[in-house]
Amino acid sequence: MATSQDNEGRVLEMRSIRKAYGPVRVLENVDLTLDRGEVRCLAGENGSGKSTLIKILSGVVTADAGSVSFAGRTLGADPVAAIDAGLSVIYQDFSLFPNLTVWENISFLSAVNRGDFVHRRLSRRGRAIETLKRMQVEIDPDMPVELLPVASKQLVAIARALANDARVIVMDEPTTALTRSEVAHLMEIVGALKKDGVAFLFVSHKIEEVFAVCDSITVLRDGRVVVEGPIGEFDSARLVEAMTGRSIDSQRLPREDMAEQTPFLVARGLGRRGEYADVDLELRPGEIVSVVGLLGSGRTELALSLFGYLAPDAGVLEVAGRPVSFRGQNDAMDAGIAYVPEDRLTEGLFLSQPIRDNIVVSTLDKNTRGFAINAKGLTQRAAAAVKRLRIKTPGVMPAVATLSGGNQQRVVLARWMERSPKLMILNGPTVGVDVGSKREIHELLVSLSRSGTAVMVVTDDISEAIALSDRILVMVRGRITGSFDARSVDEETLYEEVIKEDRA
Amino acid sequence: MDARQDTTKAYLQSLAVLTIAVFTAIALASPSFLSFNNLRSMGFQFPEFGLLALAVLPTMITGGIDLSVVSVANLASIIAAVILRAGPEVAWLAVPAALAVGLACGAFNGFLVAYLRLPPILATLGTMQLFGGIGIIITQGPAITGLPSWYTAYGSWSIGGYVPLPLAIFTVVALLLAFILRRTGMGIHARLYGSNQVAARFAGIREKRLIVRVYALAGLIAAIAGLVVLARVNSANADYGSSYLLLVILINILGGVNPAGGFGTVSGVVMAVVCLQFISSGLNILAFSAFTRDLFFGGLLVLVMSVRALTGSFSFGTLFRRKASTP
Repeated sequence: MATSQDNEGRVLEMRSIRKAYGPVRVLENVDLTLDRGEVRCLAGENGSGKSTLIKILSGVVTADAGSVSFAGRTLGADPVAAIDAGLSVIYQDFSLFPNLTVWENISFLSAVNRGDFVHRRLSRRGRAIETLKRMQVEIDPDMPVELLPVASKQLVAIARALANDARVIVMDEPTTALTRSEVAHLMEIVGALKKDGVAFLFVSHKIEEVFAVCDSITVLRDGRVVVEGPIGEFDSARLVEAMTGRSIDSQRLPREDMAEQTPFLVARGLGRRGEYADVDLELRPGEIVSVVGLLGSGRTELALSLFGYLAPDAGVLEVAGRPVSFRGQNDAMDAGIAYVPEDRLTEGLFLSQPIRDNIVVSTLDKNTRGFAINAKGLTQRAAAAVKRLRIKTPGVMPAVATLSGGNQQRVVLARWMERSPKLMILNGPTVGVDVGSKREIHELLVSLSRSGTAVMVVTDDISEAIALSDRILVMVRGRITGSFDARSVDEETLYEEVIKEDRA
Repeated sequence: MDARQDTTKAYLQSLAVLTIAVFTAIALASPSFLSFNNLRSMGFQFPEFGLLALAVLPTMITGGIDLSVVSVANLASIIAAVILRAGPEVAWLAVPAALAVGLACGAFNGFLVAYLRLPPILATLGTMQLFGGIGIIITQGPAITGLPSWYTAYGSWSIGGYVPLPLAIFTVVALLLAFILRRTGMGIHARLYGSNQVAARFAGIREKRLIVRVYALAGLIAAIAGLVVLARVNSANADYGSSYLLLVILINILGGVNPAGGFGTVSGVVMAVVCLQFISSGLNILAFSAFTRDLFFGGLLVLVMSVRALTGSFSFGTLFRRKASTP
């Protein structure tokens, strides 16, 4: 069991790393070290240089200056050498082969196979099972990876790294797709491996989990290390301040109270077999309602049903006092409902296309006369939206992929705000968005609601629900099990409620 | 995650430079290239495959493809030929009927892709055989000849003696298509749909209607190509221009269309068509054997694709699967 200050056990040392892309300085004199058994968090907002640093570490990108050494050996920019030296980077998509089984994924990496001319199935499978056992994880080794839940895929990715004799494991946003109990499990495993001397580097901007597991923190801002040190020296306020350069309280957003209005959307006994059941819901103009639940609680399916994307098979849905049955999302849109999907990158945005088109795609009619669209009108409207939502971009024609996460999410919001919806449903509105932008998006939603839009937020982020909502509904295993006034409820109560049946 | 970047503009500029360079090189090597007769004969040659290339363009922008364009063109020209031969009193129906056939064939392709969710490459490979088969049944094999001379006269007629009619038709179709792609909801939605089908659904783009329209448009343009061929060749044949299919798809690639969807312009396709016609005529005038044409075309296309693959992200993978299921 190595202590984190043991210089003998230094496994990774990055010194004075510099990198610029053209005139843009991405990294400036960055130092980073890892000791045996150390868990370090690399924190920073989007665009602070975290990803570039990881790419330099893994040898994919060459630094302009500085050195990277593993266990005292200096390496050039060579991914294979880095892997041989015991580095393993687990990216957000895990880079697994979905059609292969768990054990095949674990044991197929080149370094494991080195020297094998013949495929020795039994010994490989045995090795994979051994690795899973070492992690104390129970996953069927013969299951194809595509059938596994996200959390298990992550564990398979870690097992693959271990089977590959990794001594340094870098995890990029390891918990984005995980629920709280899954995160806790992951952290237990990290804790156990740490005792074996495996060092971890977490790239994250979720603050709470940083405190749970890390020994030390390095905070990057604008390509520089702004602060670095053992975890004991930080509290969450100081960390947020270091990341954003300004202090932000995570308190509930201030707002005026609104008189209760007649509901815009009412659901009675709504259900969809195998996904959710008996849902009663009232969404009113001027009110923000959060639906909080774990992944798989039916929260996303419920939201998709209100948007007409999935069809409920039980219960009634009323919009503006009239019963409706949506045949598809276009019916719901015509009724004034907007939906910001869960996964911005695959469901929300046309990444390779201009910001302008991403904003106006659902409102082309506004600038259409006869057959023809007035392109200038589109551009003006998009430019106005960019300004109103303070999207940071030099213009409206660059591809939306060039924006940071927070700005991308604002593009999706702008698209729907162009339609002046009566009900806006948002699924995980701030996933993968940095702390500063998160607050601004929350403020945006509060002002949207106060201007008379009904807002429903689906999330598993309890502090987000409290900061943002007027009313919080808890969803467990497809049923709404509790309703809370966001002004009076505290995080602990909600958390207990959310995981209630998950524990049983 | 899809991180394709729009390199279209830079690419179009280099394509324009290439086209001008080819033109200048051939003109310097052989002044007769610039003769009025040669220029005019080019104006009769390229519009037919140029129109077919334009027909494929909208489908490729949506991330699909239409392999049936040549079959649709032939079927449309066979229908027109049958009606033209039926007698002067129904002859006026020939053109509208041919266009309607093209539209219907295209809409059928769109139906297969949008409603049955067949991969476009397979759906249109099937209908390529199907439409070709219908054509052969109608003609019973040999070409339909003996068309009224007033119709075939259009095939060699030049407006004012200068602008060949096929070239004029090609120009008008190109302009209209450019307008549809840039300035209508259908065009903008087609491009966005091509870049991300799932996001298109969440943004409320009416996917099925869009796809049927895009393939119907492809069928319509193919039918126009068929009418041009009918007038120029003076006969309708079920297996005319079978070598055009691959040429037409490669023109789109050369024209900067991304087969994965989301990118593609009429101006790029037009430049690619013109460039290949210059090379083809140039080889002819410089007394190269006709056999060298494929060598030059193939070499150029492989070169262009290699350069694009090295400089940008360019993939053929999506042609063979539906993107929706693999975000």
